[in-house]
Amino acid sequence: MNHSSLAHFFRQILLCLLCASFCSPSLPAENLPDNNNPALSTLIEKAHQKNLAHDRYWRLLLHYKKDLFGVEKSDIDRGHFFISKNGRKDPSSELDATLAAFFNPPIVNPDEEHPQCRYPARYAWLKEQLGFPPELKEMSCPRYESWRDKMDPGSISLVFASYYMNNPASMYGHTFFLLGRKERFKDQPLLNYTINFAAMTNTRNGILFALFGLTGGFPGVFSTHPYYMKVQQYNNLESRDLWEYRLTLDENQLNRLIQHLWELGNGTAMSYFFFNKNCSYQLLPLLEVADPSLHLSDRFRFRAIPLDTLRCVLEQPGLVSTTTWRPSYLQQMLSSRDRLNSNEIRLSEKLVLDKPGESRDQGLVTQVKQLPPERQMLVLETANDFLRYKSGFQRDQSENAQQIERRILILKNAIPVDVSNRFSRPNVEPSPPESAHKTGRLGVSGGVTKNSSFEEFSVRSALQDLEGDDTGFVFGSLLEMAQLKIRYDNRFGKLNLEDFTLFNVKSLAPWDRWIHHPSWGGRMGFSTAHDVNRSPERSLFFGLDGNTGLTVRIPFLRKGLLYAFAVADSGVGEPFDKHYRIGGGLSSGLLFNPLPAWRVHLSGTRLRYGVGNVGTTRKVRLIQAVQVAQQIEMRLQLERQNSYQEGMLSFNYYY
Amino acid sequence: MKKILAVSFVLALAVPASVFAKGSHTMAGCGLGYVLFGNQNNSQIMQVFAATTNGTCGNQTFGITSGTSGCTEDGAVKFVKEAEVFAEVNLDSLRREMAAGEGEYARAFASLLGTTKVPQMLKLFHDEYASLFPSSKTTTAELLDSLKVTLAAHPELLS
Repeated sequence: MNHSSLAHFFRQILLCLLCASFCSPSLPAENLPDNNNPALSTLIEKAHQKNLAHDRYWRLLLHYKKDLFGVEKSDIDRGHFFISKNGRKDPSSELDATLAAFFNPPIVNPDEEHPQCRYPARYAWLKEQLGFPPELKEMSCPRYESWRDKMDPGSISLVFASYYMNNPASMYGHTFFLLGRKERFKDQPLLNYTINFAAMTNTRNGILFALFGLTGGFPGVFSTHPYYMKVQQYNNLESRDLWEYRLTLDENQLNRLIQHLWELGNGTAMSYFFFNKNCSYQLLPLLEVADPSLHLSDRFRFRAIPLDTLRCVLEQPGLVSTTTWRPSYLQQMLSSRDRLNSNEIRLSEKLVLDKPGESRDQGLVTQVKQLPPERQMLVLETANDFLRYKSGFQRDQSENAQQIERRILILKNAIPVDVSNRFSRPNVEPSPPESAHKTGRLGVSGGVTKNSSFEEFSVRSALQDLEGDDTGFVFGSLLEMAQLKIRYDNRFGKLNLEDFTLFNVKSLAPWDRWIHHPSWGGRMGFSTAHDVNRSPERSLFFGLDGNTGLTVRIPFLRKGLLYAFAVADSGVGEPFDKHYRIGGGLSSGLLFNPLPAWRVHLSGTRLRYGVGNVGTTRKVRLIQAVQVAQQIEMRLQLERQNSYQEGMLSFNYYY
Repeated sequence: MKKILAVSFVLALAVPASVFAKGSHTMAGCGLGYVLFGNQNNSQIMQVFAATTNGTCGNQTFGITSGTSGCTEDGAVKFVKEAEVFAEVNLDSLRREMAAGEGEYARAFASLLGTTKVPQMLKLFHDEYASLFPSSKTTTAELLDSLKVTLAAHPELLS
């Protein structure tokens, strides 16, 4: 994820410009099938006879997919991946051109690569399928071999970066591969390499950023960062848990993946689409190249949520062996703090908040050294975490922060090394991401109003609301995208659009002694204005709202949260005088679980619209949600908006 | 920030030196510490938008077949640069863990320095902490220089 300042983006661009001067020129000379090369003609004929151009494996190597209109072409649309100029749509011309290119004379310029070395996966497969004649001289590929030695691939895992607090969008997750080593540093997982697919972004404008991400405006590329960079980024900078799922690919399969990965370098890119051809989707074709019997990517044509791609991999029999959890930075801090008594917590705070100074430091040192060494370690580690949380992870820290850190580290250094060797951070492993309910939801409901009754059908593309079971998700977060609700009113005998939400997001991050996050939310979509008391088919409007406020935990209620928001609300549409209204007000609510599978949400809102359709809206709503089976939920909702009243019973199915 | 980056890159393009090559001066690093830990603007709006692309810092440096830069070759860290790049990127974690003489980063660093005797190396980090990190402002280059001296006095660790 990009935490970006202006300087950071300039840095990206600068890196880009500098690296461009190092990139090798790429397009191998096009060697057309040639009557002067009988060996080549024989090979091409043999390839046609075996129909290799339409073999699943060849199409996997070229990343051929059916696009939205059912036309088959390669996802690779940037860079010099194809030798033939029709290679993107014509697998046969690409195969012929590849075979021809393998006959190229040895490369003289050290910055260039021979096609045999540029396409090691194609070379290995075609050689195996056709058997190469002695006229096709095998080239040595020192550059590829050198890279391979550094990757040192011995095993592979799929890593899922989980959500982080206060950003509901992160509930979608992120996935990348982790290459376990074979030869060097086998017990140092931090030194492994990763394989990550991400968009190369070049804009700072937030709106453009999202727009390009959604519509394929950015090129997506693979990169291979050392794992320690990823752990720093996800565990520390972004405070996200990392879940490593070891895959059971054998040596040959892993070999094919690595060979193909090299082919995807050298400026090769695929347009990045947030909804489907995204970071997690593009890992699946790599697994299919490794093991062509796997069919993973076909089901993700229109929507690829990382959590779903993870589930897809987990569903393949025997593909995943073990799971390893790496807790996020915040998770570690809070777990440690939970083990401290109140005096120790205060001591941790003083270690961080007290300004450095001779006499004060002396007092703190005495207090710390009074504790047994194991408790000292816990206090100091927690204090260290708290300091980092407050001051951030940037390399350039204030003088004050540096001195405070030093004070903690000197104390830690005074503890004998055998004590610290025995010390381990307390952590309780949470439910893994795949234990969350499924990402899509269907609902059927029946309800009554003052004068009528209705049935409602709803479908939601993603992901989670405040009343749904939050196992595997972050507590108190709401993220809904593309939700549609249709109602049939029994009295009028009419079918109406009740609601079409484009996006709805809310983060109720509870205020904590150390972690001060404001709560916030926003929604954009079509709704029905029940509060203005028009007939159902004349009440649809388009609305945009935003809110900000605070949430606190309620200690005596299970999963209890109490929140209060300031709200700004606007709407455009037929039901309003002057066709619009703008207003604001307050909203407050209470959430808790009387029983583990039973969630209650009571909320009240008061909005005053001063412009357009002037008036006041008062809403009260009570939702009760009960989980009746895995992926099945029952809800009872009672709502009142001004003089409108409604009661509804729903059954939701997560798919 | 831009000035630091420019300086780092100039240094990176200069003749690279192995951490323990005889008679050579350790470089100031590849500037890769700032790829992740430059000043960030953690503004909420940018975070939400950035979730749409999962852009990664240093995509170019670590792009496959991206060519050679000061510390990387085709997206992988050069063998002779591994310890230095690790120290540069993870300086803050090392500063923290080497004080205790324990931790995953300290262990990985010990391995990168070439020892098979990791527990003894960790104890050395702990016992010599004051000379490895003499102040709160100790830089990566200073750490690596101090390490060179300290390890020279303990040849049994690298045998």
